[in-house]
Amino acid sequence: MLFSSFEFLLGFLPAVFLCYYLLPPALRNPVLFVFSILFYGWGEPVFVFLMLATLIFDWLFGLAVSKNAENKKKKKLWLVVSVIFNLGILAFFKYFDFFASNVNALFSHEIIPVLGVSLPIGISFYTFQALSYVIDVYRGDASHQKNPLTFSTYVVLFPQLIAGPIVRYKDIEGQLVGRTHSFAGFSSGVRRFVTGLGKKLLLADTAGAFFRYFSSLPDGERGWSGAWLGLFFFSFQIYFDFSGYSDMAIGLGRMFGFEFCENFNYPYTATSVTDFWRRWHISLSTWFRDYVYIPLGGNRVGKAKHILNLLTVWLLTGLWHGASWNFVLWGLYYFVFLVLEKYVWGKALEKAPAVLRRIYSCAVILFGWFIFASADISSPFGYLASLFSAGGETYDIWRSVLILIILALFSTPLPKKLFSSAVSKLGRGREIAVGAALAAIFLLSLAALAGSDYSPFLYTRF
Amino acid sequence: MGKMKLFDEIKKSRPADVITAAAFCAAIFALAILTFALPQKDFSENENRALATSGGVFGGMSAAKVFDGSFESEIADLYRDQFPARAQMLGIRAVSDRILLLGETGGVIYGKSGYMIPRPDGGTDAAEKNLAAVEAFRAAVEGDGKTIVFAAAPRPADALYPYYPAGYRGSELAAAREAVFPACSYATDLLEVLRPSVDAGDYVYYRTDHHWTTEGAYLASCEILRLLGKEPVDRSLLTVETASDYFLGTTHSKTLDPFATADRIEYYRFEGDEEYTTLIVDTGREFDGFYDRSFLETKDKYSSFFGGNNGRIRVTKKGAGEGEREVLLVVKDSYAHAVLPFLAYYYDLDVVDPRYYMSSVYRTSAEDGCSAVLILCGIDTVAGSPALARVSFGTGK
Repeated sequence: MLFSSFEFLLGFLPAVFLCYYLLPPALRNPVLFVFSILFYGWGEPVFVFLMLATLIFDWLFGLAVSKNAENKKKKKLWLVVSVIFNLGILAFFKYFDFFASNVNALFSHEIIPVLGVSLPIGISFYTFQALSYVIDVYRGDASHQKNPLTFSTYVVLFPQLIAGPIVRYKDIEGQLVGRTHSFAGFSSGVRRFVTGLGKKLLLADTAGAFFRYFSSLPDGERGWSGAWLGLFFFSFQIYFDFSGYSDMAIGLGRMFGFEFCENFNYPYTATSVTDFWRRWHISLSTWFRDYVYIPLGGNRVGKAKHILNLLTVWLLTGLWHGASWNFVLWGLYYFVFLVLEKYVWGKALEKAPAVLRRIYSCAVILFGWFIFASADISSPFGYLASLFSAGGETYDIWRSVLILIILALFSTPLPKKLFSSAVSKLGRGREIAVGAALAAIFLLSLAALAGSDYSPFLYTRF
Repeated sequence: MGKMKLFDEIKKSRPADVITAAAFCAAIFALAILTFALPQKDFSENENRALATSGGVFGGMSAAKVFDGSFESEIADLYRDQFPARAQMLGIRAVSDRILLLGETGGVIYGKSGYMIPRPDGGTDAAEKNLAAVEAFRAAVEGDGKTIVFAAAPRPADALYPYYPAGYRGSELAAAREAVFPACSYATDLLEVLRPSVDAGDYVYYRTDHHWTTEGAYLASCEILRLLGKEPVDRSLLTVETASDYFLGTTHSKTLDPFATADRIEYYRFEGDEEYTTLIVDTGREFDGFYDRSFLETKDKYSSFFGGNNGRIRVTKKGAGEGEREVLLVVKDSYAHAVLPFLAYYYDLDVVDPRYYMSSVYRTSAEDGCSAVLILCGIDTVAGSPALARVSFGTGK
């Protein structure tokens, strides 16, 4: 189930609100657990069994690790078992077919059968959350959660279950057992959720429709204008889609008394590639930093080892995004730029004017998105060539202009600042202005949602 | 939260926070209740399809459907179809698309002078097979000593070039045209017939529908009759009747733009045109003349021409003796509907639509006593619809 769907907004959400707030407070976590399982199983109930197995085993692993707190060897053994279990499931569902088809291609005949397993939704997100729990317990950063239901609620909590942010156990350990509910928290959640809904349905989906249009044009007709516009639209689509989802997750969390970590901080205003990765999908970067990079020694090692550590992290980051070579390449692409910034031109870059630094960062990010999107483009090399071709419909340029300006503006803090400064002068009217803006975003989002699956069949009689 | 606790909480909170929370909950609860409490609609005129209803979705619920996910997708359909004020919401979308200068909504380009131009959506995959089938059919029919004319109607985007928005070249139109015209030497491109009128700014295509107007159809009929060896029906014989001056057609249905300029449906009447009988063979229904005016009360007003899409219809002149009038077999899609009255001036008509007519068209041509055959379809049907390939059934090829 997606947040940006009628069945979520007008079915699931009212039902969970009713149960959560009308039943006794002691039942709040059980209510969230049951609804989260329903949310997860909606459309693909079969994976609920996999989820339940993951929950039971990870809770037991946490128990085993904490029971052996004094016995380092045993403690480590249980941690290793847990890592193998979690990554094993992830590897099977996400990477087995990729591995098998590559091995088969290498030897030109089928050595390993391709199983055609379908990917359980959100597996990359919740596996990392479950792992963070066992690792945090192992490190003593968090204590073992005695109540398996509370632990399970943490892993399956529907706001962040299928697309993050990747909330680490130690960060919400306290909130799971005692959190406060207030109108201030709930309304700030509403504001954040509606903002995210607008980002997704009004900005990301519009940008996505343009990208689909430009990428589906025959290579000969796209022209340089269509190719570049398509690339810009994809960059905005992926940002507003993902950050919109994170906003909705954070907003929903607040409506139930949770405070999740931030996941985006205007990444397209970054002044370097290093800066971009401090602003993009922050919860994933920090997960890799805390659970892979730093345990490998981070940057407190020799130059060669440091570069190797970066290579490991970025290969894994690439692969985490999907079982496909373009994601591996995308990870390596960032590895190269991060190493270059660290060891070659980082210092010079810092001295360069901010405008140049931003142009450089945006150019790197833009081509990065080309690699990322190339699996969705029927002929990536044809698309690449059309970036430098002639022609393209001027009509397409005209109709892209205003929406591109809007997308670009909203990927900076400027609109928020302008709105805040404008409404701050309104005195008591401030609240009304904010409310009206929210209502307008909500209404337009519903209109966009109604339109998103509206495709009349006009030619059939039956 | 207990009652007292809730009041305490409200008292100590900022009013704006309470109102925001309450308004959001009120909005989603109200919309949720309205979705199910309002009388359910089971048919959408705009989309021309049956809608999902609570009765249908919950009545058909089963463990197997829940488990394979089909129940869940039916629930999604139910919300989509029964969402209150759905049409108004789509109207808002169209307006916001226009404000953002996006140039189009739902694949419909906003052209000049209120013309809505649907982007062609058919492919060219079927062209080769269709043209081969037409060729087999033509050879067989000509072998029987009959005249055959094959003509293709332009899509609105082909004909509305004076109304293209700034910078639009219509480069996406070429593929289907090239798959039909250079590929088939005897296919008549009716765009060339319409071009002088299009250039003169005449009203030959509807603003909000994908068909040609009766004027466009009349111009097409002149060329078709010439090709059949007849004189075009003279304009002096025709009187224009405005059947409806509020027609929002199929293209409008895709956008539901509240600021669309309505079209006018005209009937080009000639003396004695009431003295014909239209028989819808599929249902056995008959009516006098060419027009089923009950459709003028619905959204789908273009269907008032011969009752819309049917597998087979017959149009005969009352009182004419057996064999007195020539019979023309028309193999067509809906573009032909507005053209048929002018053909009926000379011929009794046997009209089949290969999308719905499952018998052999060639065998029909042998049985109905026709002296000539016309294939008249839109370019999209010729290039992109597999249905036309059926015309070769029964020809032995």
